Amino acid sequence: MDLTSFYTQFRDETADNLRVLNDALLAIEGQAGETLRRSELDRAFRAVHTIKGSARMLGFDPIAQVAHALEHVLGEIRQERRALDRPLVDLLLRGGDLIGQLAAEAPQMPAPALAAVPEIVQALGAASPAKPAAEPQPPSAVASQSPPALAETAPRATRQTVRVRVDRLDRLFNLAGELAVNQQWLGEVGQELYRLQEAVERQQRAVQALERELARLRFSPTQRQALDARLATLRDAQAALADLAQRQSDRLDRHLARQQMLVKDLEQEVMAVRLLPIATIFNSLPRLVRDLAAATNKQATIEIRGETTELDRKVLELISDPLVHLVRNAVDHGLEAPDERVAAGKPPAGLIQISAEPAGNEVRIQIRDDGRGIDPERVRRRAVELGMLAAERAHQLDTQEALDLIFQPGFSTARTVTEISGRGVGMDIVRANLIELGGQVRVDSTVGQGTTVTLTIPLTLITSRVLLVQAGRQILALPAATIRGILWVRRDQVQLIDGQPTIAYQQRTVALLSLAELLGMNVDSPLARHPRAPALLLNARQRRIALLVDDLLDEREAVVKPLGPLFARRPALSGAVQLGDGGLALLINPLQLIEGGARRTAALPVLSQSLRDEPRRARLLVVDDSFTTRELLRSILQSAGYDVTAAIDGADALDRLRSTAYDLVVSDIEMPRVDGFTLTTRIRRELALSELPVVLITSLASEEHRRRGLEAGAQAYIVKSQFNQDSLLNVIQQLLGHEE
Amino acid sequence: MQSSPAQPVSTAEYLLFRVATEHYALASAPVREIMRWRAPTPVPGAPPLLPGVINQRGQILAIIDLRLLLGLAAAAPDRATRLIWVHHGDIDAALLVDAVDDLIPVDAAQLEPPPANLTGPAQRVIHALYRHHDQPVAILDLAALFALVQEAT
Repeated sequence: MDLTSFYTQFRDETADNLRVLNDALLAIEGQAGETLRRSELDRAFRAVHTIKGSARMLGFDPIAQVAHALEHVLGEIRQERRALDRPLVDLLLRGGDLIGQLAAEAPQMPAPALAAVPEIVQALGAASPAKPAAEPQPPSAVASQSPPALAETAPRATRQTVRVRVDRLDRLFNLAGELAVNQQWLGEVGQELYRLQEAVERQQRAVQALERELARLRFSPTQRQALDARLATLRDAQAALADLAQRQSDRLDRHLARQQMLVKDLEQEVMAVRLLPIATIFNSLPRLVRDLAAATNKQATIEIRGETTELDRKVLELISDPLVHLVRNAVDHGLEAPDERVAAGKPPAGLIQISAEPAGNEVRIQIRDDGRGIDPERVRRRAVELGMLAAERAHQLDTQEALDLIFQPGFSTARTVTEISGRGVGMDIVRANLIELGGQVRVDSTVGQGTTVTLTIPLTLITSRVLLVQAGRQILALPAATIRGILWVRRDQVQLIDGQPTIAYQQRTVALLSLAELLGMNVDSPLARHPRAPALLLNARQRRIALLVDDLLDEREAVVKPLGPLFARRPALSGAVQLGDGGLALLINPLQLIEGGARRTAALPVLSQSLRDEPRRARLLVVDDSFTTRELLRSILQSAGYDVTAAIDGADALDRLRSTAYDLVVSDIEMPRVDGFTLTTRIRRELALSELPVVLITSLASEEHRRRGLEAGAQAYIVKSQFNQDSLLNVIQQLLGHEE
Repeated sequence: MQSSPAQPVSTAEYLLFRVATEHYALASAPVREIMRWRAPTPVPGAPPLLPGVINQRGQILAIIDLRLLLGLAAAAPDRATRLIWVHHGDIDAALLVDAVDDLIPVDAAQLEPPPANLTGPAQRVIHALYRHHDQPVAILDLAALFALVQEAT
């Protein structure tokens, strides 16, 4: 008989039971209440009993021996024939650990662990009083009659479960993701239908105009009759076309809305399948804290909240090590020795608080200690000593930025300042792991009061929000989580500091790098080709960096597919996303790119020369809900030599502004959905286009409205009644001239 | 299944293809699919022998240009150009070849050791020689080929 599957099950089950044993023992130790103590003791007993039963069944005698010895001691404690003191807890924990080592690769058992069996069994036996007990019975009535394994699983049996291979789940995931991408494509078809409707509308107007023209002309009665007949046919066809376009568009809309919900539900369900409670990794922490505190002669209590918070299993795998690192650091280097704490007016036992809570599409995990905190001044000094940055630069950093220095690779080598060096151990790895997940890590600390490390992690990895940009000739995707904002850079705002192009933004200096160049593409900086270019402000708190790109194309949910082992040495290439047309865009992790790439400068080659290049036609966005006004403005501006795009209202305009760079916006005020004031405000706030000129044209002539318009951030306010072509063109020329 | 006599007939299918004017073959077991050429998405910074990636029914495949890998001159794709989707270990990739000719049974006994005068990449990836209609066919070792590509990245 092939026992392989039983072995796997035994290993999993034993790991679970050891966790129960550990938890229960630690709980008993910290638990005064008799009832709770009793129930924890029962739990520990049942767990050991189950291990023993399964080990015997599979013939793993050394495991059964240790489990039997543990069970025996626990039985005596339950009968109050022995007290559970600290050395005994230690011994029981060691017994559990030994079982863990023996079971980890069962049926193979490592020789050193086997060798340790007699010693532990003897120690446990010696620890008990003389009377050899009969086979102890498991505590519950059910368990005493049925096999122990059944008793363990009985409460769970009400919900049926199946074990599913992870690769099958992954496949399911992938398919759900593909469906979501297809859905996006259908959305694009819907947009096409809207455009069709618009075209039909234009045609209808043209026909009406033609009819009016014809009515003014003279024709013989026969000619008139023939014309009328043709026109009637045309009108009928028109009406039918308009009706059809409208109906199809509506149908598709309804269908899309329904399907959208289904796809979302499916995604969520599929996602939920892979979710596991964070307790699976939190469970090991109390033991870790206990052992560490003992090893460092400190006292520590641990509080855990939110262990039922669920995360994708892949995410859990990746944060498990960082979490252990952080907790270890908190005890080892955060907490002070008891006497030092008492001297500082704190209770002798330090408190480690670990919490997890969902926050939107993310989960926030905090590791908080009430220890001595991190002194930013010492971090600064250390960083300067290590040659990470110049002294004067170090003093310009605010507290937060100084604390962030501990994430720099190599900071951990600082040996003299213990509390800081400790924090540095593996901190760069912690951050690297989180970046890989699209997450973030933040440290807050108050000297003397403690340190809090906050990890923010995406709930799931099935789809990620990405930003699609044009860099050189290629479309690239960047995880939205890595981008803090977008700023528009004009050539004349760029300043060279030590040969590095920079821009002042919110009173800070931001280094400008060209994304294409960082990737090694052989193209000029976007600023050499456009007078203004968008730059992505990175979510890297260590350095202020913005990546110049040629254009912003879209922001969307995308399924990220791995590039495979052939590109494993390029960590900045984190995968590929499928575009609506079936093509691919590479997913670039800009933070990795910055870390990996040597600090190259976003060269602005022969800047002064390229400034004199032939000026590009300025791109204007005209926003008006009235078809006539829109077309009128469009024709005026186009004949003045501008490149004009029209938007039907403020919401439409915002969409267009998100995806394309414009040089100026001309907008009506009264519009459905988003009006001109709101549009202006949102351009400034949401899109952070503080410099983009906005001209408001309106019939609202009151002073109050003019004031509101200017307050919202419009550069000019033109009232329709005073409207004439020349004044509009003058204003636009002035605003653009000012900009160039 | 295990009941074959002492003299097992170890015949395997091989995919016969051309790179420049030379004939090559690959055991057909790791071959997933043969596709027409299509322009890949270039990967910035990748060596020329990896001209980019394509999406084949949801799987991302890196294209490996066998001409460049074998040290032959590059050529523009034409109507005969094919991509061979191969899978080995945890790697899926598409081999760029000039033409795919045939699927032939090859008796393991008829494989000859590779010529001793091979040098460079050819020496590493060609692990046997086979005579097909009096034409020498070089049989490629996929594992060695992938290892070579990984060194180049």
